[in-house]
Amino acid sequence: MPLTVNNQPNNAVELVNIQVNLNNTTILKNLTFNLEAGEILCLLGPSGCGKTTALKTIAGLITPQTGQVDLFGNVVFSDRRINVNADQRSIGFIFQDYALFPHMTIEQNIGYGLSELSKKEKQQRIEETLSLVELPDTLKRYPHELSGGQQQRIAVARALAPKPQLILMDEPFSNIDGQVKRRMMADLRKLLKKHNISCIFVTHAKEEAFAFADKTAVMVSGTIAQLDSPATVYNHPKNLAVAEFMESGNLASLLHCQQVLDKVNHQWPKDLDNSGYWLFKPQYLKVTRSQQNTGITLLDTTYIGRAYQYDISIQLDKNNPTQLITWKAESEHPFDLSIGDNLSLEYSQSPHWLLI
Amino acid sequence: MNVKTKTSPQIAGFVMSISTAIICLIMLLPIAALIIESSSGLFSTAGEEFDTTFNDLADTVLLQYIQNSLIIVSQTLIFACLFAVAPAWWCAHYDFSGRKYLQWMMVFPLAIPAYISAYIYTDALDYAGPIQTSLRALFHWASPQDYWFFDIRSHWGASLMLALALYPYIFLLLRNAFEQRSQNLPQAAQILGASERKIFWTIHLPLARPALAIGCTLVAMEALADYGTVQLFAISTLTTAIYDSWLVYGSLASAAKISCLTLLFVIALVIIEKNSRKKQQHFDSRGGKPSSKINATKTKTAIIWLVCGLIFSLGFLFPLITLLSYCLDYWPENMNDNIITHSQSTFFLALSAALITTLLAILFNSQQRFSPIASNQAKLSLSSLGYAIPGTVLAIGILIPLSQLDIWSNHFIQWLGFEKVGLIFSGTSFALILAFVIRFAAISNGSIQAAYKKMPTNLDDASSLLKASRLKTFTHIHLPLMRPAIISAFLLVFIECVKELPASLLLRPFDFETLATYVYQFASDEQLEHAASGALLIIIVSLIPILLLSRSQKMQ
Repeated sequence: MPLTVNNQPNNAVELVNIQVNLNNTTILKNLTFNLEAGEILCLLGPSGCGKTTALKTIAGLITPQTGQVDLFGNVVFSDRRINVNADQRSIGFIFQDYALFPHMTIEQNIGYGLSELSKKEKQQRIEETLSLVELPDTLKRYPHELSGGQQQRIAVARALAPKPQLILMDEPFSNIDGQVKRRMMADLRKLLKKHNISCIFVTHAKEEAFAFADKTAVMVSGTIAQLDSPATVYNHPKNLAVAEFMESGNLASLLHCQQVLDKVNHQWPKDLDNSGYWLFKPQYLKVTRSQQNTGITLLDTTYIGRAYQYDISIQLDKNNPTQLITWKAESEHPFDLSIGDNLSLEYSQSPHWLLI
Repeated sequence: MNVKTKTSPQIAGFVMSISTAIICLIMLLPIAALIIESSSGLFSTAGEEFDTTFNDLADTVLLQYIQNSLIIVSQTLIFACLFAVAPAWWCAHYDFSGRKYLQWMMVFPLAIPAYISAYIYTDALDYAGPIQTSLRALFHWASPQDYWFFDIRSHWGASLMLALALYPYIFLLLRNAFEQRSQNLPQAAQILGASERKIFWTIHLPLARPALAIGCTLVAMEALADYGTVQLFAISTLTTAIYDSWLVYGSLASAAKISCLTLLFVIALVIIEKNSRKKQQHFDSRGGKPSSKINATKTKTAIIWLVCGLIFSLGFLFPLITLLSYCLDYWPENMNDNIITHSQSTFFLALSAALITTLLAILFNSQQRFSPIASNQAKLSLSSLGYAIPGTVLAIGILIPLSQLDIWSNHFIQWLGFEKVGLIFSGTSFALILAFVIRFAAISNGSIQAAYKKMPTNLDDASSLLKASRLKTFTHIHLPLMRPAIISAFLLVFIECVKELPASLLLRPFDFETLATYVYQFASDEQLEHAASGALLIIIVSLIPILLLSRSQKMQ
């Protein structure tokens, strides 16, 4: 029996304490999050953190050991007592390699999930969907006759054709480069929003999360480390793991904090906690040449497009030149500096306090 | 909406699981029967007639048989490596005129059964054969004492014949291994100052060792299982001992014991092969372009053609031409009704076995695809075990349970008040088809398994998410994508069945011949000339997979 959408549910997806073990290894540990209807959520994280497993668990391709999965208010999995098969969950899925059936034409690929429609309705839906992805002339062609970008759009069309309320995408943009990728992301986002389709997509590239998602969930070792808007996750990471993965800025542990604080020209709060890290945004760090031996040295200068980036080393212990940390500073305009210069630093914002 | 999923697909899955388990047990029955039958002597009670054939053999000639088997296997390996390694390297490493033809010509000897070559070479090299006769005429030698000549009817002769028919296994695998090797490694060695010779011995050959190990194991297993050639040269080996124990001494228990002994050698070969490859697995260097070929000089091209041409002529051309001349010289004998009758019966048997084997391979593999659990993988592996069992051993393993089944069926039918029906299992084509299915299941399994491995599992997931049932996924996605593999699985099994000799000799029904047994009977009666057309037919059929292989590689 196909899944029906409950009247106006708030959540498209709700995962509660999902635990997945594969080959005696725990992949997902009490994974809990929800996605509101019509939202686009990005599951972001390093390789092996369980993003794809989470996606496949929602789709019904992997059966968890414990927990509950709700789709539009319907329980589709609950501690093995309920387990709705993948073909009954009414989900669109776009695979990393698109999984287009190589022996079928584009028309047959898109029509594959429309067997419940009459021949006429099916043909009409195929043509509609192809127009939606702007590839109306590819009906009789085979997947291998299309470019990577076109194949991706056909994969989108095939997933959209049965009119699902939820689409799951496994690294959908990883095989496409540059401008094409940006345009496709924009087009697809517009399409999902226009049809109010909820979407969860998986990626390890934070730029894709920024450009495509309404919300970003950073996954670390099978759990959600932080779920917020992409800007919040980037600018205000909740913990060290998120900050490191998002490359949110320069980090200084409390152990080394005092040495660093002495060197950074800023008014610091006096009541420092006993544990944690400070996060310093590179763009708020101003670098100037110093005539004194500050223990801060310029290592390298790189032009990164939007700004100049300075790699600097900070000596933490005056008596031990090997105890160093490396930071980055950014500036729209080039500073008059040479590699090896002694520097002094100024920080124009309050640093972000993190918990370990 | 809560949906419980104890539905019809799961019931169907359960039924399928039970069915495949039963089929798997049937396929393992011969091994179980051999073990039980060979241990029956141990459990025989007082008063029961004790079969002493095996003990008599063990006290007298069994050790000699084992020694002969080991000598044949090791000498065949030496010859096969001599014929295969250098040509494989030349075809993989050098580009020279005619390379594309030569690399396939080198595989053609695989189509000629070793016993046919053995007969032809015996005919040519014997004392009364054309070569010795010409030499005697040329040098005015009067008797055998006047000169020395290679005795083909010897261990060396039998090994040479087997090696000429079997070396293509090593050639194919090694050539492929040499061609697939990344060019980065030899280039790194070259930059470090290694000569071409040193690079071959220290980089290419050690890295191709897994392929060499597989090739040698295949050759060793085939040589161990050979019946036709050794019997023709009157060399007693384990396989001839099995045959004689059953057909000459009528001792099934003794045949079973020798079969178990032969199986131990096969297991030892497999273990040696696995061990030799174990440490090599991490050497498999992926990435980097495959090595590009070097243009061979004119002298090198001449040497390559001379050596490979000689091997090809000895292994394929000479036997083929001789058979053609036999066929033309004895045209009426070769064009009789027997050939047509035996061809028809052979093709019927091969067709049935190939069809069943292919269907079983699809069943086992699709089950493993849909439910990749350990028990399904075990079923798949166990159903492929038969390929490692020599034909003669398998035949004995099948005879034991089928004879018992015949006894039970006849008792049952008599109990029902009807007359005995005779040997409906062991005395009909049923036994032969069962043997073919068990022996060649590995071929079709391998072919279908390879097709499934190439098919990403994402396609199944995509199909499932588009609301397709397993049946629809199977019929609309798997079957169309596997079509070439299904055809090749069917063809390969069909051809193997046409060629198969040892099991056919033991299991064929009374007054029934396959093409292979028909040709072999004439060869063993030293009258192959009268069955040359049958031998040619076997060779033509056997060439099909080689041509298919060359075509598929060209397409790649």
